[in-house]
Amino acid sequence: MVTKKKIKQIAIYGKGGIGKSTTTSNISAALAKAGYKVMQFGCDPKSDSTNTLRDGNYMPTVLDTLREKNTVQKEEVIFQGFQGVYCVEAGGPAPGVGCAGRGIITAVQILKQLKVFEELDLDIVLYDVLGDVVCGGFAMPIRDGIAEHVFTVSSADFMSIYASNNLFKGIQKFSNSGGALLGGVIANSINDDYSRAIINDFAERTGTQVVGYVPRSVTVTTSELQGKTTIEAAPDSEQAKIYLNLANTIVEHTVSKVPAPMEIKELRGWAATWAEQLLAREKGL
Amino acid sequence: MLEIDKAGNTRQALHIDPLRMCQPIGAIYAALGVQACMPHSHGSSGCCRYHKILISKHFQKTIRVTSSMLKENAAIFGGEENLKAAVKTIFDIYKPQIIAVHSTCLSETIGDHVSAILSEIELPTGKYLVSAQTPSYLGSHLTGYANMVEALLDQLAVRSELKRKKCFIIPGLVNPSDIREIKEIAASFNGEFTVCPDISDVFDAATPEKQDEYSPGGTPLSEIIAAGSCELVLALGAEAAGAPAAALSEKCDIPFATLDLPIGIEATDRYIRQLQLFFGSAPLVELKRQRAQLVETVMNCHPLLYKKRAAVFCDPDIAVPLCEFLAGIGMAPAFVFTGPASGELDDRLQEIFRRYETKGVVQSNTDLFELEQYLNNETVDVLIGEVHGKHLARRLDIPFVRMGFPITDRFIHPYFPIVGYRGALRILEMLLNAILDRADRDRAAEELSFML
Ligand SMILES: Nc1ncnc2c1ncn2[C@@H]1O[C@H](COP(=O)(O)OP(=O)(O)OP(=O)(O)O)[C@@H](O)[C@H]1O
Ligand code: SF4
Ligand SMILES: [Mg+2]
Repeated sequence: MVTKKKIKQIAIYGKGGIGKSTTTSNISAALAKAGYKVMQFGCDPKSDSTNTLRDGNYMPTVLDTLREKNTVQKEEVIFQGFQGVYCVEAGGPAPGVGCAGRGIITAVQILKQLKVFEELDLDIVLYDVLGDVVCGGFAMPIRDGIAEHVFTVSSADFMSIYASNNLFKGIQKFSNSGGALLGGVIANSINDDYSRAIINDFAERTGTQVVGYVPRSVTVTTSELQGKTTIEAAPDSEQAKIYLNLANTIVEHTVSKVPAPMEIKELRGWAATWAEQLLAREKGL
Repeated sequence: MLEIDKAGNTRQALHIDPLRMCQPIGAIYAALGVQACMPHSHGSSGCCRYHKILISKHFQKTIRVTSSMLKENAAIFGGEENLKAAVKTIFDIYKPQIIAVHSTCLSETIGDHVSAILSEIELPTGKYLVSAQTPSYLGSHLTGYANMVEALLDQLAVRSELKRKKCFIIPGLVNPSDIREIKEIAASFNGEFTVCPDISDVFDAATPEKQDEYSPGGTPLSEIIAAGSCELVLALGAEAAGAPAAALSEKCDIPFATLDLPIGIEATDRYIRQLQLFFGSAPLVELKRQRAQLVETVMNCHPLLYKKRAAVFCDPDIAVPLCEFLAGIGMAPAFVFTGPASGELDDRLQEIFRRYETKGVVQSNTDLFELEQYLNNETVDVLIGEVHGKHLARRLDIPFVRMGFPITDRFIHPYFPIVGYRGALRILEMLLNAILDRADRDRAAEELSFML
């Protein structure tokens, strides 16, 4: 008897521009390099999630294809990139029209109906989801038992932490109905102890953990300019090692939890105490 | 006393037989009151189908409403392509003079900017397009009616410095026979007036046979465009007609007055008095004759109706003057239940109750489930309202007089008015018949009488 392989499905959320796509693509690249069968699913109307896995090129999206042909075939929307990573972009409407949230719901459902995950014999699927959980549509990957684990990419900036806290609220809400649970925080652009302390404190307060610290690095920028991930463009760099470790932690990760998000007042108060400490430190210097 | 499970506060999510309908129903109703106008639903096909069937069944005749047929694609990418294609097809095939587009929940929620989309369309000469925003998660069918009438006036009427002694009458949502009554009363002053929307000769006319034919009725577009030259705007019914009257008044600098729908003696008196004041002439003797006949009838049947308790469930615009009439003839409107209504509803009814020394429970934005619980505690002699009261009538064994919209299980009713003195006479007849039939039914065979 063949036991059906369990596909690990992971959703990555975080504030706009915080480094979700960069981090996710590097994790995908690292895992593919280590021999896993990986799919990265960009859930963002910008359709740029998987660019650095495919030399900076854009590709046809699920929703564009649906719009043009009214049906979607696997080979029309799944393309392989670096080390065979399967790339999919949900796509969506132009800014200012239509409903991107509805688009994500539809795109995820289409992929589910096409049964590609089983057919491609995937080990892991990474969903890179746009910004904040602005409406129900963007919560699609974390509800209805699609993704199992959620990670949030966050810097130590208040707005980024605020977005993560909001995401935690979404996870908490769907946790009763078979939704995804929280794996932890991927701390991005953490270059000093203070940033590290802030993000650690936030994780502790909300009942979660930091699964990796990624510093801000020019290697990322130069790789991106070549249309590549750091793993591909600078495999021997310090930064690549950090991404490899992070990828390892994530693939090994098994138990996720329901987070305990802060209420908005509590969160403000928490941020204010940190601001005071930072100010005091600057004055002291 | 059983405790009441009220709609709205404790029972937010569940309304059973609510007294509100989708905004687009009112918008379609209003649009069909414009000559050679095609109502267009910018939504998915189900909305249009449901709205069309409801109106069709009320009048027992087919009506035409087109739809953008938004599907999954449009829900994601927006409905612009569908709307533009629809407008072109409608002008090509159905050849209306105007298309009145209303939005739906879907198109509002995804944020389709309907007016901007329409403004990009190059119109054939002499053709018009208007649009109204009508999401059903706000207001009711009366809001939709008001929004569409306002859109028509706001987007078509032209401001004019040259005014003429003409009255622009905006009736609320009533039957074609009621519109005829409103027009007949206005015409008795021999002055100029426009009624808009005007559904007479539309919902009570033969269905056009060809695709590009329209009913003879409906307010002519030229009259709507020329609205700006009127000297008075008269709204009949605050909920459905108040806002468009105020908008026209504002846009074209015309004084406006909001009256009740002329239902019952007093509201009809007020309508006539307002017209008399405006036109400066006396109404025809025929109106006096009708009034005298009505008053005499009220006196004669007073003993039969005195202190009879009624539960009224209908649109607020009908509820207010109807309850004034009931209270005025000695009945007790013990329960007055309506769909969403502005704050004034309760004040108006309380004033009426005080004036006629009676009491009643007033609930707006509610459902028949709530009314039924009240009636279980304290019954009434007659139910007056829209078709869904049928279940209450059966379960509680109370005589039922159908009134208002929708009445989808009976024929012919839209051909007879409830408006004006004649309408009041008809209301009396319906009430008496219901109450007397019930009394006869309850009487032993040997006690049945052929005399009153
Ligand atoms: N650790 C890092 N070091 C240097 N640059 C980084 C790092 N992380 C992200 N960036 C840069 O920040 C920019 C935004 O990153 P990215 O596109 O991954 O963010 P995102 O969260 O996916 O944004 P969006 O919400 O717009 O999809 C990119 O130019 C990326 O190269
Ligand atoms: S979607 Fe809205 S407008 Fe359409 S039928 Fe439903 S409630 Fe009415
Ligand atoms: Mg991104």
